[in-house]
Amino acid sequence: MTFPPLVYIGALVMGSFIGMLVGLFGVGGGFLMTPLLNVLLGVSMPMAVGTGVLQILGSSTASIYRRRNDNLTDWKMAVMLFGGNYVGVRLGTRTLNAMRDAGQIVIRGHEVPAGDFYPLLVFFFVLAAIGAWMLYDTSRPAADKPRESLLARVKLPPYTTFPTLSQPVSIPILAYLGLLLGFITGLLGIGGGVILLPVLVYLVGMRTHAATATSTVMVGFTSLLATITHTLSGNASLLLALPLIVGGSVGVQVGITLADRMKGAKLRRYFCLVMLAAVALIGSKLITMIF
Amino acid sequence: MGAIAAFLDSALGQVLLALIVPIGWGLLSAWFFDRMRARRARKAVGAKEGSQ
Repeated sequence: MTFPPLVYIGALVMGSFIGMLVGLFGVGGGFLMTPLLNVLLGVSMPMAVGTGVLQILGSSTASIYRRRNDNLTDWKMAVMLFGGNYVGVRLGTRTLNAMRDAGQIVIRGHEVPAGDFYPLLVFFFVLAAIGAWMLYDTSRPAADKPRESLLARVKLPPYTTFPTLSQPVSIPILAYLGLLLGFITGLLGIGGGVILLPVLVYLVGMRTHAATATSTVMVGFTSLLATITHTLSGNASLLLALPLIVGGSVGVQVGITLADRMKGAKLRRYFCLVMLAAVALIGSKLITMIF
Repeated sequence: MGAIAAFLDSALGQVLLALIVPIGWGLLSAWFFDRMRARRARKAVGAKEGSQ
């Protein structure tokens, strides 16, 4: 599928800008990339999701390469989450395809494409929830101590232990966690790092550094699976992904340089503002669709 | 040439391309920027030693 030249130029600019945010704030940019491809460049949501996944595969590969010597990744955790992940990605892609194939739906007398409306609506709530969580989190002091694992309280055998955790954790619960993460990636085209990282830290009880490394590997695994399923479903455009990937890799370097000059607390607050701006943009698009 | 084009148009070819291009670019860009950073760091150390 080809797009007008302006879309590719816009993708290059957007990729660079989001790459800069990734370098600045240290989180994946998929959760901004996918809705903005639709809202700003007019790419249909299923195509934006598939193309966003290709971009995430590129950026997560670079992150895994950079972290190859840090020995912080909990590989056992990553492999265990991967099982549920595979099923989740397939389910998420199928759900998105069903929305796309539903064609037009009528809301308040207006015909709107179901494949655009429903994923944007889900994005609106997911981003608003993450933004609210981050606002709450910025008001607390940062600590890198091992936390109590909330998941360890769930009594659902069999259990297993991890080198990065102090308590055994239920295997089925971890599998369902992987499934949820995969579903989100398949449906929304976000790597899941923005959700997985707080889950690993607050629910599983990992230290922040180990959680960041494990989450990077998991995002790589998930985006690899999602790339295959979305390409087979005809939801991905490699031509559109290229300017996003190239712009993103340059933007990340600019962001990293800028981040070195800023304080952590200030960075996190700016990030919340970016998130709120994205929520407002998606909200305005939804309103124009309905009214 | 025709066989290659036909393969790249097939589902398997599309999936392989979609996997190889982002992974390849990710590895290449990470390697390139790492090298650039290491070179800049070496230069900075050299300049510091030169001034002493």
